[in-house]
Amino acid sequence: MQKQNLVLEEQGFSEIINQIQVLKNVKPKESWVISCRAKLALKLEMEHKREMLTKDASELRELFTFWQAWQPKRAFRPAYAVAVALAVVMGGGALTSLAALQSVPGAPLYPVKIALERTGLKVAPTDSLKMKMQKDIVGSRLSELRVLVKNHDSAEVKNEKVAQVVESIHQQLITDKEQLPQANKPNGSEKSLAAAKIVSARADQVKKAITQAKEKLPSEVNSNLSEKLAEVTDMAEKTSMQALEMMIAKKEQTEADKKDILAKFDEIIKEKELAIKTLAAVGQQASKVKSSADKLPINAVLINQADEADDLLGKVETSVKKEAFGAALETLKTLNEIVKGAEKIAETVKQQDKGVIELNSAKNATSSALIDSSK
Amino acid sequence: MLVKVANITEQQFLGFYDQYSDKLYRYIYFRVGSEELAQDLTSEVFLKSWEYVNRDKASSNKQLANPRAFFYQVARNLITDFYRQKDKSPLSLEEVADKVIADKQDGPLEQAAISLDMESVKAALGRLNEDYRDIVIWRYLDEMEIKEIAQIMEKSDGAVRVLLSRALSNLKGVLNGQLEPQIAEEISVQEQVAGEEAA
Repeated sequence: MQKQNLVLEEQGFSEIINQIQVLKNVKPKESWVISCRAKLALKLEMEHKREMLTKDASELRELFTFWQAWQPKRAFRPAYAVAVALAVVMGGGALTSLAALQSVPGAPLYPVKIALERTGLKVAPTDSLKMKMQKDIVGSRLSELRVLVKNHDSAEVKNEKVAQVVESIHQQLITDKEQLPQANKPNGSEKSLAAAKIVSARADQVKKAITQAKEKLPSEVNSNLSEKLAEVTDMAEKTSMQALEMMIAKKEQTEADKKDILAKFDEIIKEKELAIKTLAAVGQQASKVKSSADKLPINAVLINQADEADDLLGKVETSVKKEAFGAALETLKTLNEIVKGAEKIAETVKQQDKGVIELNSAKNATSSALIDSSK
Repeated sequence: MLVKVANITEQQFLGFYDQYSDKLYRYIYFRVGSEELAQDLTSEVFLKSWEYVNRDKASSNKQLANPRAFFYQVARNLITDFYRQKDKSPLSLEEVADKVIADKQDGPLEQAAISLDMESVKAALGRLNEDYRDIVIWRYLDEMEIKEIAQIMEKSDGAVRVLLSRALSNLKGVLNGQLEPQIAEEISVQEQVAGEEAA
């Protein structure tokens, strides 16, 4: 009765209540939330270590007692005690940092790991050291991605953690891409080229890792994550192309430079060959699946695009052989757009075919059941 | 949600942080009027709570019926201690609002882009006594049930309903300019509840 009275009363104050509820927009700064959490996590971890240290200390006392009984007249016992205590304390601190470095999203020390990385980048004295650290950070994200994909988390948790790592990779790629034009200074052509090569290698590494992750992630990957993965792959591709463009644009290319460019083109050509074969196979496979008549034109488009891409790839190879790298790059850009479009169509076709195959399987199962029941 | 204190892991505790830190911060902010102070006190809430959880963990059979209510109790106590130590009387929300708007142009209240109407609601809320203000914040911003609020305030459910009813009436009265601000009002809640039950 009292509850009902309150409900009725609150209805009478609904306007005021609505106005009060706008104050829900007051929130703490995200940077504070993260740093506070990191400090809390560190405190929790240090307390845990302290507990272990207390246990170790009691074990050490037992050890000293044994030592005392065995070597009662040893004069360096106090020095030994200090040395061991120092080792344990220093080891504790180092172990915490080491534990943090192994962590993945969701682990208590993960914010500590991120904080350590950011601090490292800030204090890096030279650009080259900074670039090396950025490379290590990307490597770390890719390792985390591999671990997360293998983890036995639920699909929802996995999606969230993977999304976090992928976003971090995305941000790093954006930083790389932004840094490329700045690195292209007239006085630092060797430096800028070196930077372009590092960025290019990193982008390729990211592309491979994301592709592998996509294959291993469960089918319940949510659409936001799928889009994010596609976005990051696209960004990696663009970053790689931009870096290649810089390598080609360098005046007075040495033999070593040409060798690097040729190696890069070789890698890209192999990758595109595989992509085109896959597209053609999807197109052929789809046309074999019995489906509604209006699907056939889509499959035909897919096969045509795969053929067109194949032609362009041939032109790229020809240009590369003639060392007309600029022309090869331009043709490659067009090829990339066609392949990207075709891959989207292929994805749609695959989803539709999956639906048709599942529908057909369901129909067959139903038919078999009907036949069995009629016998 | 009954949680055995001894079973709360670091991971779970950090989960509580993720769940409750925003709301706790907001509540503390409306009570103390400073972003930095609210940050410090919010951090302190979790540290103190962890000390409680961790104390005598091995032999403890303590149980947390409601972790959220527990955190708010700790927050409330810390705010009281803060004012006691500083020998200050608690700020009204009006003073809070003025202080924040004067100190920081891009503070949380500015970011929320509160309208003129909201200013009057905020000011009116600030004229309520602490209990009324707390109860309104917990009920309508933090969306707590009566039972939970009762646990935090260590009062009966009936007493909390009466308090809430009076808080809303007061708020409406202040907004309409009918009531004088009642900053230090003392209510005999037990009498109120007894009256209600007799009715």
